[in-house]
Amino acid sequence: MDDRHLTSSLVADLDPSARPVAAGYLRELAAALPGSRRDRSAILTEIADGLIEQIADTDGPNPATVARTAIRGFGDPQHLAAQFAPELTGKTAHRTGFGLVSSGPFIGALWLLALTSGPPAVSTASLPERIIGLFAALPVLPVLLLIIVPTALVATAGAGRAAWVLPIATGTACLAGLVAGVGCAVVDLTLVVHALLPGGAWSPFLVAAITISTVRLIVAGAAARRCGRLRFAG
Amino acid sequence: MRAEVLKGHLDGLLLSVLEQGPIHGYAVIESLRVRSGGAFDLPTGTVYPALHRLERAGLVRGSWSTGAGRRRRCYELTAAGRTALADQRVSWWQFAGAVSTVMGGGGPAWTTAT
Repeated sequence: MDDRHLTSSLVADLDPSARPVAAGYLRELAAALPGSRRDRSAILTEIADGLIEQIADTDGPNPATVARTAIRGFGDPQHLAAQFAPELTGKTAHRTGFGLVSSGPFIGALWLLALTSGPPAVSTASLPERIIGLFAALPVLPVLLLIIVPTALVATAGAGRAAWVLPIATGTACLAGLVAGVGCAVVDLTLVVHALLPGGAWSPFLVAAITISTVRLIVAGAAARRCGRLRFAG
Repeated sequence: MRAEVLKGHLDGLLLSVLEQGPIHGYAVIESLRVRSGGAFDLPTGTVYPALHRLERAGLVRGSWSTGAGRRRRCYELTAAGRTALADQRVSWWQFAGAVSTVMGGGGPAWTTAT
């Protein structure tokens, strides 16, 4: 549901002459709110509920005037959106960090299986030996992981329980989400390009790893772009 | 009372209102207004972002419910919120006592100083 439909539906129970006034305010707020559609929708729903309550508690000569008076109590929509911005920024960072932290071990293990299974001499190697072998073949990986893992963890502290443990500014969490997202996209790209180089042996693990990494590359890139937009929006 | 005057005390006031049980955002605003005898008639837009900030800090927990035929977000204190409220109460009484003493609102020390 787009913002126009959402804002109209949220105030559908109001008097017909008050409806456009309230919906107009919510639309201005929606346009000024940063963050994902889901987060903006949650805030609009909450504000609409309060606005309807305030309209019910306000006296005036007609419903449209009552709605305008009630809206004054909520303040300028741009100002209200600016007050929500830190929380929305933090949530975006948290979601980015959490997504990368939770998907990382699974995708890493898949690539390990894909790139180190094959000839018996390789496939019988222990896990540490496989990891060392993979890092030796792609020395950029350990460097990137040293950047991605801590920054992704910092990004998770943008919201949720992690924010209680590590109370950092949401802007910092968002910057960390940007770095982790870009780093992750570079890792996925590196692995996919490496796998596609001629001479490699194909396996179901490799096909699965390439597919999942391609999806994550796109998702991580989009998440990094969102974090960057929020971080540097002013 | 202007919102700027309450700056620094808003979190404590919100936690105090939520101490009575889970309520939605607008009810928090109403409760603040009623309990202060109309003195704390805050701009509505000040309270919702503050509730979100408290939620991020783990002092309140928000959850969606249905009321009056529409979805609404209710807030309640967490254990950390109760602890923070107790700390803020102690801090407030110390501050208010000191201000009263200095300004002459309740201090025998003021009258005996001469």
